[in-house]
Amino acid sequence: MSSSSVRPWLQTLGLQLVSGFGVALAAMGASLFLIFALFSYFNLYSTLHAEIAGRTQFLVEIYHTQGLERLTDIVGRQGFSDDSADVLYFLEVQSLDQADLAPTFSYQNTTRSAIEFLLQSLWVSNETQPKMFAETTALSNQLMLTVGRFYQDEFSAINYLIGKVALVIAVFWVGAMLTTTVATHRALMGTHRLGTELRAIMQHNLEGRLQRESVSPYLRELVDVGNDMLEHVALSLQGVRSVSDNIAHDLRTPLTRLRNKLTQLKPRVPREYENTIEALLSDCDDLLASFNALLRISMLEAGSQIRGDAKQVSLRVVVQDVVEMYEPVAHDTGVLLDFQAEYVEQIRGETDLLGQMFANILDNAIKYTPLGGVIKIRLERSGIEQLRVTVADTGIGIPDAERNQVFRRFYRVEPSRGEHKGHGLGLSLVQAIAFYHRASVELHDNDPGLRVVVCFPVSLVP
Amino acid sequence: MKVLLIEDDSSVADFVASELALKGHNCECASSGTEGLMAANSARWDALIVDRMLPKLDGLSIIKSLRDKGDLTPVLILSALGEVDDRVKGLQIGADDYLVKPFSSEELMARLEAIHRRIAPLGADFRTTLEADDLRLDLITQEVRRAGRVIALQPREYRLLEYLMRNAGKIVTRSMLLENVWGYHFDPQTNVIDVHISRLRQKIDRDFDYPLVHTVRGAGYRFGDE
Repeated sequence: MSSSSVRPWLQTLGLQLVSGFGVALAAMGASLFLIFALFSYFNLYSTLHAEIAGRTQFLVEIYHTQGLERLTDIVGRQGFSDDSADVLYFLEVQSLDQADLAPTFSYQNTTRSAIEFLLQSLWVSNETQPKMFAETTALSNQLMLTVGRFYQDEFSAINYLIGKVALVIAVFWVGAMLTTTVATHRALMGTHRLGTELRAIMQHNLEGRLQRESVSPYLRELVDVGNDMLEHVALSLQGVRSVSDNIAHDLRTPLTRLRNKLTQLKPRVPREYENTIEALLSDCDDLLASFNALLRISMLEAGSQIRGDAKQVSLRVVVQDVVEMYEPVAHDTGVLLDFQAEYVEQIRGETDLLGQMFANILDNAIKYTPLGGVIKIRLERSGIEQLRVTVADTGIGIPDAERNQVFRRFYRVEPSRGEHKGHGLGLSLVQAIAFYHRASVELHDNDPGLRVVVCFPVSLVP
Repeated sequence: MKVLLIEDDSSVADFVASELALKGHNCECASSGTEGLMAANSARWDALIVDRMLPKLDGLSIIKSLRDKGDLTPVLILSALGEVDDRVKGLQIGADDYLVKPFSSEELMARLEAIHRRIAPLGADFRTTLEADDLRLDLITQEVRRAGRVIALQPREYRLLEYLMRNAGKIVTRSMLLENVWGYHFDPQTNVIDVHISRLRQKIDRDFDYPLVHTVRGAGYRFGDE
C-alpha cells in the first residue's frame, strides 16, 4: 500500500510527459530541417534554371542570326572555350510524323522539372553518380535543343551544410530531452516524496508536518496546503477526543452518582425491593459497559493507527491466554476448544486490546455454538507478510446477507435478539481493534458455523 | 487508615467519604488541585485518592510532584478517562492503581486496601508458605494441601489461589483478579472469572466441611473469614 503502488503510476506519467515533449520537439526539428533543405535545393534549382535559360537564350540567338551550321558547330564542340566541363549541349532532329515532340536526350540522374529536381534531391541525394539538370527548347518544328548542367559539386556543398544543420538539430534535441527527463524526474520525485511523507504522517504521527525547506519552490504551495490540512485534521481529531472526553466525564459522573445512590439505598429498603435494586444496579453496569465499548470504538477509529515503535507482543501468548481463560466457560456449556498455534514472530500491539479482541470473538463463538460443538482456534503464518488467527465454530453461523452488517454498531442478528445477552458492540469493537493494529477481520461460512479470520501484518513500517 | 481525597465533584467526594467512614477510616477532602497538593505535603497520609481532572492543578501533576520529592504514599487515581493510554500514563507517572468512574464502593475499598497493603509490610514478605485455616500453600514446591490432603491445581488455579490467600480476609473484585492473576485489563463480557473461581472451589472447598472462598454479592470474592 506504500511506495510500491505509487511508483509505476509516476513512471508512466513521467514517460508520457518526456515522450510527448520529445515527439513534439522532434517534429519541430524535422520540419525545420525539411524547410531548410527544400529552401536550399530550390535555391540551387533557381540558379541552375537561370544559367540554363541564359545559355539556351544565347544559342537560340546564334541559331537565328548565324544559322544552323554555326549552332551545330558549337553544339558539336560541346560549348565555348570559356565554358566549364559541367555543361552539356544536345541537338536533335525529330521527324514531323511523330505525334508529340519529346526530347530523346537522356542521361542517368537527369532531372527536368523543378518538382522532379526537388524530389530527387531529397530522396536520391546519396547517389554518387554525377547529377544533371536539363531543359529542352524547340528551335523549330523538328529541331530540339537541350542544355544540361552537372551540379554534383554544388549539390555536395549544400548537402554538407544540410548535414551540419541536421547535426545541430539532433544535438539540440538530445540536450533538450536530457534536461526534460532530469527536470521531470526531479519534479515527479519531489511530488512522490511529498506523498510518501504525507502518508507516513497520516499513518504514524499526526503531529508531524511536511518540511517546507526541503522541497523545490514550486511545491511549497502544495506543502503549505498539506500542512494546513494536517492542522485541520489534528484539530478535528482533538475535537473528537475532547468531545469524547467531555462525554466521558459528563456522562460517567452522573452515572457514578446514580450507581452510588442505588448502592447506598440498598440496605435501607425493605427486603422485597432488594432484588429490584440489584436489577437496577445491573442495568446501570450494562449501560456503562455499552457506553464504554462505544467510546472505545470511537477513540480507536478516530485516532491514528498503531505505530511502528509500539511494544512487541506475542500473538501466540495472547491467544493462548484468552483460550485458557475461556476454556472452563466452554467446558461448562459443553463446547470443546481446540487450539493449535505455530511459533510465529511477535507483532506490534497493545496486549489489553488484543486480549479484548479475542475474548469478544471467542465469547461469541461459545455463545452461539450448541452443546457438543467444537471451536477450532488456529494461529499460523499466511504467506510471508501475514499472521492469521482463525476461530471456527460449529454453531448457528451468520446468514450470508447479514455477514457484513454485523460489524455495525448495535447490530444484532435477528434470532439472537433477546435470546443471548449482549449489547451488539462486540464485533464493532473487534473491527476497531483490528483497524488500530492494521489487521483485517473477515467472516466466512464454516458450513456449519462461523469462521472468523483475523490477519495481522508481520512487520510495520517503523 | 488516614486517607486524603482530592476530588472536585462534591457528590462523588461525599460518597467516597461516607463509604470510608463506614469502614472506620479517617478521610479528608480537598476540592482543587492546589489545595490537594498542599494538604498532601502538610501531613502524613496512608493513602491518597486523586481525581485526574481537577481545577487549577490536574491529578497527574500532583502525583508527579509528590513522586519527584520521593514521597511514596500509595496513590489511587480516580478518573472518568478510562482508555488504555490514560491508564498507562497514570501508572507510569507513579500511581499505584487506576480506577475508572463510575465505580462501586466495594471496588474502591478493595483496591485502596490492596495498595495500602502492598506498601505497608515493606520487605516483610519473605514467607515461603501461605497458610489460612487448614489450607497450606507452599510457595517453593507449589504444593497445596488442605487438612493434610494434597490438592492438585492447574497453574492458573494455583496463581488464583495464591492471590486470594495473599489478600486473605479482604474483598478482591473480578477486575482485580483479571489484572493480577491473568495480567490483562479488559472487559471479559461473560463472567469468566466466576467460572474459574467455581473450578477452584470444586478442588479446595467441595470435599471439606466448610468453604474458604466466599462470594461477596455485588463486589467480588473474599478468601477466609475476617
